[in-house]
Amino acid sequence: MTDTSDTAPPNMERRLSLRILTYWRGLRDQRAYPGLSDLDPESISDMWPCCLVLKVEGCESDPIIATCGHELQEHGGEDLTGKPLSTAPPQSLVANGASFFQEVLSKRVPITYGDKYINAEGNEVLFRSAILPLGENDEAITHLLCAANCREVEPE
Amino acid sequence: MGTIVAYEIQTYRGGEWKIDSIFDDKELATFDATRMEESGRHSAIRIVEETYDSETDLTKVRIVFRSSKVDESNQATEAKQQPKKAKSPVRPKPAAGDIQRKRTARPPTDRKKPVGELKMFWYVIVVGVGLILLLSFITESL
Repeated sequence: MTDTSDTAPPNMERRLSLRILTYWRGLRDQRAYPGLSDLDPESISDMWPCCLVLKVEGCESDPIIATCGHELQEHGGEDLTGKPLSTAPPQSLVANGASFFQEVLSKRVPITYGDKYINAEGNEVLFRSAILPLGENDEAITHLLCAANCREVEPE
Repeated sequence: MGTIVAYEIQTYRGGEWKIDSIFDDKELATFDATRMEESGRHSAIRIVEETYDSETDLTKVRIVFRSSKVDESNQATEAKQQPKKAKSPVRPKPAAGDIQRKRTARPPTDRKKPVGELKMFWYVIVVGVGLILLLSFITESL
């Protein structure tokens, strides 16, 4: 399970997608989107294990996985850092959680999406992810920040 | 494939509506929009529901959330404007400074009096001179 809501303080927003969106908006301020250098993994240590950073500059059709949180790796089966997103196993949270990155590049705004997939063990997994654009100026998106968590559906 | 529904949170900035974020879930979008509204950082927020029908290739758009702040602001503006409209035919009460400025700038109400006196003065002069000339003419002729 990568649902961090269990460990969240009582008065804190439980949903990862909303928490990462709030963090992103705070970094953005008056800009179109924040830059990669604005990210501070220590300040989001509760969410960072569920985060993935994709480098899209120069590889928009198949981004490179710049960093991959360990909780996402647990659902991908291997360390995908430095590899193209297309190499992520289709039954992984990384592949499914980042599947709509093209839409974020097109719309240039954060998108939150939830769905389900069947993992390598044959179990149904419900997931929700948010992909947020990052760029050093308001013109070009250089990276994407993706945060995803999931929950396996108990077999009947 | 059927329909795909997306919920766009839009904020009003720089005189136009701009997309802030997109959700696939209405409840989540509404929750986030409400939270944004409570933060007070946005003048207006709305959620636009976009329903795309892949069979017809048509997209239906409708607003499913509008920040109450906008409505409150509009109502307050309307309330302020309505009494003004009703009072507009009535001459507004001028400020004290205006009154003083008008009083000092306004000409005296008896401004025409000196003109009348002047006319009378010239009338007396002309008639007097005329009478003198007439008398001197009569005296000479006698």
